[in-house]
Amino acid sequence: METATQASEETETGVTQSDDVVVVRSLEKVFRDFWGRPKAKAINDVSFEVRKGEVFGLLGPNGSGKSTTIKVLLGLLNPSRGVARIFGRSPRDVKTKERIGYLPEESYLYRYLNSAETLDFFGGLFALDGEEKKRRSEQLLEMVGLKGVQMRTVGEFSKGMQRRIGLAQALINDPDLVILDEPTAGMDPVGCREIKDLILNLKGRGKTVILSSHLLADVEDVCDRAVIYYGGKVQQYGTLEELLTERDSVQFTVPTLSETAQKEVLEVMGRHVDRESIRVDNPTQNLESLFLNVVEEARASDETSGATSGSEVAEFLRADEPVPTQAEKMLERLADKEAAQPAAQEKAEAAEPETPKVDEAKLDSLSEAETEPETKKPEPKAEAKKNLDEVDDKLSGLLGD
Amino acid sequence: MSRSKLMAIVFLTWKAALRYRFFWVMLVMLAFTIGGIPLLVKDDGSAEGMTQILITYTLSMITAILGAATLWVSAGSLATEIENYQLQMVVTKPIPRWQIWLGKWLGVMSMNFILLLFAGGVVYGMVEYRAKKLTRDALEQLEDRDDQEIYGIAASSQIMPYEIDPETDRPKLDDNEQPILRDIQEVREDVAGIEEKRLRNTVLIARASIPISDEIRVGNNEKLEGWIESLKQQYLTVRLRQVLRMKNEAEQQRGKKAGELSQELDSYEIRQAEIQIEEEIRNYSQVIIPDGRVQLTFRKPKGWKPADDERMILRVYFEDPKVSFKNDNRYGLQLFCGPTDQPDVVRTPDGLTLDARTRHEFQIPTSLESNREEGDRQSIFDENGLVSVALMNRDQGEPDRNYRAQLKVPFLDNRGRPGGEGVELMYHEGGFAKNYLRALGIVFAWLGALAALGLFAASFMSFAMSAFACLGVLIISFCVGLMQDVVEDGTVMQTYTEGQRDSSYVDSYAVPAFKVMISMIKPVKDYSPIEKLTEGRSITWGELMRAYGYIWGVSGLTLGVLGSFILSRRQLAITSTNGGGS
Repeated sequence: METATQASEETETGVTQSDDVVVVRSLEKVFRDFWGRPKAKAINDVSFEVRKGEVFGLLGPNGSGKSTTIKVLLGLLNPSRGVARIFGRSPRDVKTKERIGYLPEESYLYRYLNSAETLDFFGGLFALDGEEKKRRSEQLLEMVGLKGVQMRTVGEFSKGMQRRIGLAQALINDPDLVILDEPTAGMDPVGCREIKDLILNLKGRGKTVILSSHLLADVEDVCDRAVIYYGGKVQQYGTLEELLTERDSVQFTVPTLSETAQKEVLEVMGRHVDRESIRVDNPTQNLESLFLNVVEEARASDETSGATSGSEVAEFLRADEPVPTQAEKMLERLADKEAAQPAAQEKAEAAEPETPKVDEAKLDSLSEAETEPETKKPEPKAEAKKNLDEVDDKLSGLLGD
Repeated sequence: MSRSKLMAIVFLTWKAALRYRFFWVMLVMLAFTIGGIPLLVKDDGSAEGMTQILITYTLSMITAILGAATLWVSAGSLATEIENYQLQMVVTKPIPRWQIWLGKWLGVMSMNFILLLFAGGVVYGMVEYRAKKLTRDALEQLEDRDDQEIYGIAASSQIMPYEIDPETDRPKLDDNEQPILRDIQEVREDVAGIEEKRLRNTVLIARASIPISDEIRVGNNEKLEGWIESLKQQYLTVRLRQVLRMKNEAEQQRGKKAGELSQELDSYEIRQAEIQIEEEIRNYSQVIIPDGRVQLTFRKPKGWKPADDERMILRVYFEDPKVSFKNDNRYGLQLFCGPTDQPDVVRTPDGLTLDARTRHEFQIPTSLESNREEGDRQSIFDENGLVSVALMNRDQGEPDRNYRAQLKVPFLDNRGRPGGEGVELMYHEGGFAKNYLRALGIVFAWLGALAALGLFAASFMSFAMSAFACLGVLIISFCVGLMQDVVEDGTVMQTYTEGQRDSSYVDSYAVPAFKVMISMIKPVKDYSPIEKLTEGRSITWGELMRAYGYIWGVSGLTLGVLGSFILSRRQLAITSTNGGGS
């Protein structure tokens, strides 16, 4: 497991990876009052880097410094000390911003614009030509399920719908780095799943994603690596596997055993460990999976005046064969053909070393345990979800809650 | 600079104005203002008066409404976007912040352009309609008059009732050697159009001033500066003695004994006395005593080539120093005009009387009539391009008064230089439409500066604060006159002790501060087109360019550069609602 201290040492020795998209070194941000007196130190000696093609989590309770870090990375705040670099440039560099997509924690969109106008406006800021802007807008609106309500102004939208249009604007430029600040806040479970699915797809296309959240399940589902903030400082930093693995215990999942067989197994185990430390129960489906199934069935018969839940993505979630989702297809279309090829190559190259073996084992075990094939894809880490409470407990412990 | 990025910001400003109904509300307000003012204001009954009031009030109101709205919208569009965090979404996109600033300014100004064009167009239409209505109404009134009467009116109104032979420039004659009368309908229309024509010659016209030269003769045909100097020398000794006596009296009142009193004035006191007496003499030089005469010289503008039959306008204004208000008294004043070697070749009739405190206009030929018959038309300007204008006080007093009045003709400006409103010589520089367009151009320049001011304030202040600050600047700009008084007096105090103006410890700060503020605001304020427009005076392209140069080039550009610099440096994630800076 990397630590903040180790990361700092890397700076001192000048060791940085060539594919680092974001480099943060000894970053400090002090908010001052009108007279220049220090009021609060929002982040203190924060160092980390985000590599190309990974989903990087900024995790921490409210007020821990996640959003401040993001705002420094976006040039919305000036660091009091330390350095932040994106694609090797200053966050304020206009060139840097060409490659960034940003979804803020709240909807800061223009309330008097409708969805189509919102995307047209932000597309204009990337100097997209008219046809391209229109094409991308239509596809993004379809992807986020707002095509049916594209003439309604953003001010009339529910919070979830505002998150969706916010997400669409963040992707209008097919960014290489997507910064998502609390992307699932205010979203219904279906929307949360779609966003997480989209993040995984972006990662598959070689895009880099920075995800800030205090919802532990979000981070756990999609992130490769994460920093855990508390009190403006980085408390833990590393891959999720490193952060979550309980190295002093082992878990087996097998088909239901007869009472005799269970006793035999327990007897064997009892010879090696204390009987009191062995726990036996049935795996359960998590609430998110159950909810998604219920909504999917209901959607087949009912209509809604609000946002649709992006049926294309939902189909992908339930599909067995690895066909590209609607979101994936859309994102492929957004990218230039020339750019798409190396991206796909990178995806193939990146996928193998990045995919943790433990996850595969968990996915395998999930495949055997689950009875409904539709829920297989959206549950890549079902085993981990089964023990979500334990994970939450552990991370909550780290966060000091 | 990417045009599409800039245009995205411009269109956004437009959409905000349309969606929040700002644009439509402004349009309705302007329409009501333009339509309502002519119904509310009273004029002096003349066509000129009505037109002048129409132009003055409507254009002033349009400028005021658009100016206030411009400040509000420009400050609001930036400040509220910062406060509502919307600008954070924009600055994270690849557009430099100065382009955001510029885009907003262009958005506001493009809106102003449309609104000003609409309002200005309606006012112009109304003015033209009213001018043409004068002829229509007069035609209706003349319907009952017989032809003979019409020809009579034409003859008395200097409208030629006969057909003119273009070759001889004389009336055509019939077989009986009688002049041929023009078609009655044409004459009727000409007679009906007298009022409209007068309006178009006095108000709906662009007349430029012919610059006055320093060659001014007063008293006994002496040059002004020499006359002032001789009088100054004559009276200075007496004045210095008076000042010393007053100084001693003041010293005595403060308790000084006879032996302790000052024996002489210090250099500052002498200088002050000199300045004061010169000012008094200069002021007195503008007073023409009975049978006295003042002679001014005007220089023909470069590039102006008047046609032979073209006429200049001599505008004269005078006061009776004994009467501080306008009354019905009439005063004898004779005007002379001509080349400097024949200064009296053109003159007003003997016995002409005029009322004081009124602007009187006289038409002056550019070619001398006497030489036209010989076929050699002589210009009224001499070989050096100079023309002389003289005013002679012919007042006899009776029957209005029991005294022969001295007449004050303010031909010096408030700095004592030639160029007051007392005597002006003007020429026809262009039509009203072009002049009106240039006036709107200056109003537009003003709106540009106000938009820059609003955006500048919003670049570092909240909406409430920036609106308050902008309002403050506007109020200060209206107080330039007061500040000028303070600077001239050297103190903010308005009280006197022992005949001397009191002073305050504030003066050492206020007077220099006011000087700076005047130097910043006054040049901008001086570019006011409305007064010129209503007086039928030309707003030249040069003036328009100078207005843009100063209002946009100096004020607007300074505010723009500063504003966009501040916005670029500002940490937009910190607003007045979430805390201070870091």
